[in-house]
Amino acid sequence: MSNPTIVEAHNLTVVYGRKPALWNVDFELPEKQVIGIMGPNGSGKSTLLKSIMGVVEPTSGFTKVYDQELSEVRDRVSYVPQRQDIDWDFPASVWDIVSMGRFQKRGLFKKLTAEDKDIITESLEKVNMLGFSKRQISQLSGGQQQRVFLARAIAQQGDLFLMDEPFAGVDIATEEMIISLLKEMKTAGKTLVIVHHDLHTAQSYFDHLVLLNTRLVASGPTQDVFTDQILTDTYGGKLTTIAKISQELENKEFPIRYK
Amino acid sequence: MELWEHITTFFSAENYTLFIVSIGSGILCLAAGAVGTFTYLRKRALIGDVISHSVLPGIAIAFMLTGVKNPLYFLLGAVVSGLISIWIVDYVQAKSKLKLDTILALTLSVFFGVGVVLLTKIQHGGNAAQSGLDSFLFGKAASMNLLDVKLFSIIALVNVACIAVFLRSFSLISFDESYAKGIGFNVKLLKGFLALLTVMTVAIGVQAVGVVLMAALLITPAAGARYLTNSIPRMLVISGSFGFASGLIGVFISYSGAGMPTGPWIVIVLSAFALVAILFGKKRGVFARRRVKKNNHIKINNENVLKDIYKVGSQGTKTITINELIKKEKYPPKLLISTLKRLEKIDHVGLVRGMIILSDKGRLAAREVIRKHRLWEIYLSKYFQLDADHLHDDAEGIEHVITPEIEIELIKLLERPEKDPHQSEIPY
Amino acid sequence: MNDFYIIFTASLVAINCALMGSFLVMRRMVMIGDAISHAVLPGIFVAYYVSGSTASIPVLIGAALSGILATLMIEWLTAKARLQSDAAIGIAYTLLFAIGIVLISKFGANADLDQQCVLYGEIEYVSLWLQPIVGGLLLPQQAIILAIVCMVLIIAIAIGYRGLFLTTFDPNFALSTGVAVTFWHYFLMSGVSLTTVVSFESVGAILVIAFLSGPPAIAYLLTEDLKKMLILGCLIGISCSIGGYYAAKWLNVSVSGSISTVIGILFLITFVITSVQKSKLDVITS
Repeated sequence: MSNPTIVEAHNLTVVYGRKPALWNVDFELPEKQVIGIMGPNGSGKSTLLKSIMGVVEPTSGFTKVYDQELSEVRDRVSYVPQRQDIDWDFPASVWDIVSMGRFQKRGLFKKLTAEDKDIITESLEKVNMLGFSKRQISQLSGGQQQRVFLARAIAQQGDLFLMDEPFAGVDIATEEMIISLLKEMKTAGKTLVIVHHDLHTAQSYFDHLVLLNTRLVASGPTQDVFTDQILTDTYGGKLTTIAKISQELENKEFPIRYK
Repeated sequence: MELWEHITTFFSAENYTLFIVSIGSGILCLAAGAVGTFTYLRKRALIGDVISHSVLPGIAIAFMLTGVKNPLYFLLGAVVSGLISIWIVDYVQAKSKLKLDTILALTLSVFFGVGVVLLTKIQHGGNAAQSGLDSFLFGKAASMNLLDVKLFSIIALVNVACIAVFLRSFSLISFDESYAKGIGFNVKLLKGFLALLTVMTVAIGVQAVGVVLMAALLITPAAGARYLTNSIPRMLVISGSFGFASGLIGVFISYSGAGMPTGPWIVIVLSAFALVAILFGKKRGVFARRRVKKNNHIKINNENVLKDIYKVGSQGTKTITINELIKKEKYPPKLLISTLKRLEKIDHVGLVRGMIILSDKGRLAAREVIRKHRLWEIYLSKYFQLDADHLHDDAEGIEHVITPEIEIELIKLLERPEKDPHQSEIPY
Repeated sequence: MNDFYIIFTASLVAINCALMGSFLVMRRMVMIGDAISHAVLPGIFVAYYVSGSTASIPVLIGAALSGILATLMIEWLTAKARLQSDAAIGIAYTLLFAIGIVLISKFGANADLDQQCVLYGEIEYVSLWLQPIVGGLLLPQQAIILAIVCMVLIIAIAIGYRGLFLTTFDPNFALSTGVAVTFWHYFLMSGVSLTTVVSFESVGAILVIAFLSGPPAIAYLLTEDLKKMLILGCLIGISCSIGGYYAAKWLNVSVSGSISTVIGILFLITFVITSVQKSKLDVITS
């Protein structure tokens, strides 16, 4: 039996300038699983996560979470953006960053309550960073930065977690910690969608895989999707035609669909 | 007629000084336009702004030390303080967590502040020769003499000569610094050399337009030139000529309206030049790009209509009337008729009393579109996971974009397929 | 008393600029502040000329209009004409500034505004326009306006701190939680424009940029807490105003220029000390 759908993308297209980053992507993701989103560089992985999260507007098509508009269920979704996009020299402490996870519930203008503070403390504890709560973020290692971002997402208390490259540039201890945390969260009934680029670990980490190369190459249970044929299709040179067409669209400023 | 009189007096021998001044300004702006091409290509427009503000203290110190208004000393002072400002920007960026924009703003304003302090010191000192130092703020070309012009011409000439000699190296580091480093160019030295040329140009340029507007002299003509050509040598020539012309015209305007500062007028003329280029540039211009978009739509309409006529023909009936086609495909009548007229002009269809007849040429073109459409459907269904009912819509858009080269590639990749996913034959 | 008026006015400019500058520094947008402070010139001049007064409301409107014009120009150049953004900023603000200078030199005699005050400001003369306020206390007109703006900014930051903090640090996360990032961008930019315009008149374009970039940058080197950075930035700005003013008086030079110079010197000292400390720390840890 398969789990009910938690995220659905329908005809999802995101165009930057004239160049498609995601192109007519359709899929459904099952609930309560660890789901990997994979594909070569520039294949639209982050864009996919961002459009589910409402960070980028789709050019056409739509995504739904829990069969509803994102705005209806935003408080059930936690997000971990890419660590590299952030200026870690920002003057703030670990506590400051994790408390952002409570802003949504509390609003931008109300004081955080004792309950919020407990949740923040717990979240920091879960990623073994409680001892660092007063530490300035500029003094953290890459792995510690990633833990702080995870703690912020945990403090959001969602049921669905979207994570953009949480394993990129972290130490082994952190990677192991994140993995055991993911298992724990899955057991607790959470759904985890993770952008990932390391093929070696994909089979052991994920129950379900989405393979992207601007378009959707495959989506399904890992054992069905993680085949030589599909991997060559995703990463091999066969799909350069897509890139050439995209370039053509951009150079000649062609609309992707005419109507 | 008054204007003509103006112009003739402007260029007459009686107005020898004015002639000198305008030629001098033209040469300054020419050099700036040429060097600025690289400032623009290396996306360092705002650094140009920093350098222009930063030469002020150098000029003031040169005056304080020598007590005379000698352009050679000014040049020396300006070059030194300009180079120091670039070095500070680079050093602070490398050694601190501050971001470039903050460092630029801080360097620019502090150097300028120091310059202002020194200038006011000189003014209050009551040195008789000091009058006119203010002109470095907004430029006052009118105070130029033959000696100045000679000096500026030499500097400009040196600049242009260096650019000509090092054209390839400068182009390479503007295009891809790390690649240049990889193939053994001494990028650091080249960058330093280019910086020196830029600072020298700025140092003479401020005499015409002043420190505040000098950045425009570097960037505006180059930006305009970029819309007219893709080649760097041509860009250099166009940008330099823009500069030269603006220098002349700017001086002329400020001479006509007494008391007008030259700098702002030169910048306004330059901006007008650039705007014209940005609007009317042959390939990159705003109107050219609008035309491309319009042509895309024309191509799409042409191909769609051809395809529909062909499909009717292949179902047995040889001809179709315009009214039938309107009904069948729900085209807006006006659009359909204009498209058909266009197709008739290029001999793709014949129109006889409301009947549409496809020519051989039209048939071939229609088959090509259908072939591309079906090849794309096969490609998508083979390599991607896409709902079958989305295939057609997708190909409907892309059939117009596939170039002959991409088509050949698709045929090769798919091993010359016979049928598309809907079992329709592919017309080769 | 004149000393006090000048220092008081300069300090208010310093506070306003430090508050806005801290966010600009963290958002990498300081050069936008630079562009705005030059681009408002034609609007200010036209407002002066048309209304015939230095009253602040028309001037503010004029400045706002030309600020908006500059933004539209930059947007058109980058989006429609596809010009690279650094060049778009450079072209737009130099053109507007040039137009402003031409207008001033053509009609300036009637409008009590000259070319140099655009750059240096007229802070030396603030006490020429004194305005009585409560209790018979006299304050320069400029200072009163600056104080009102200062109050507005402090209240705005106090209320909007969390929004500004969140959208500055991590705009993507902010968007994902449904925060209107664009709103906070314009919220900040309105504050920056207001600050730039009211400060422009008293201290000139260059010192506005020095105040926007310098004290926040120094504070940023000294602290790793945004709240402390804001407060420290204000204090540094005030100290530089005091130091710069007395240095100017002593040397008989331009006050704006002198304050900029002091900011530069203070930055240099801070930069050297923090760099030395950092390299010492690096030696210890390695």
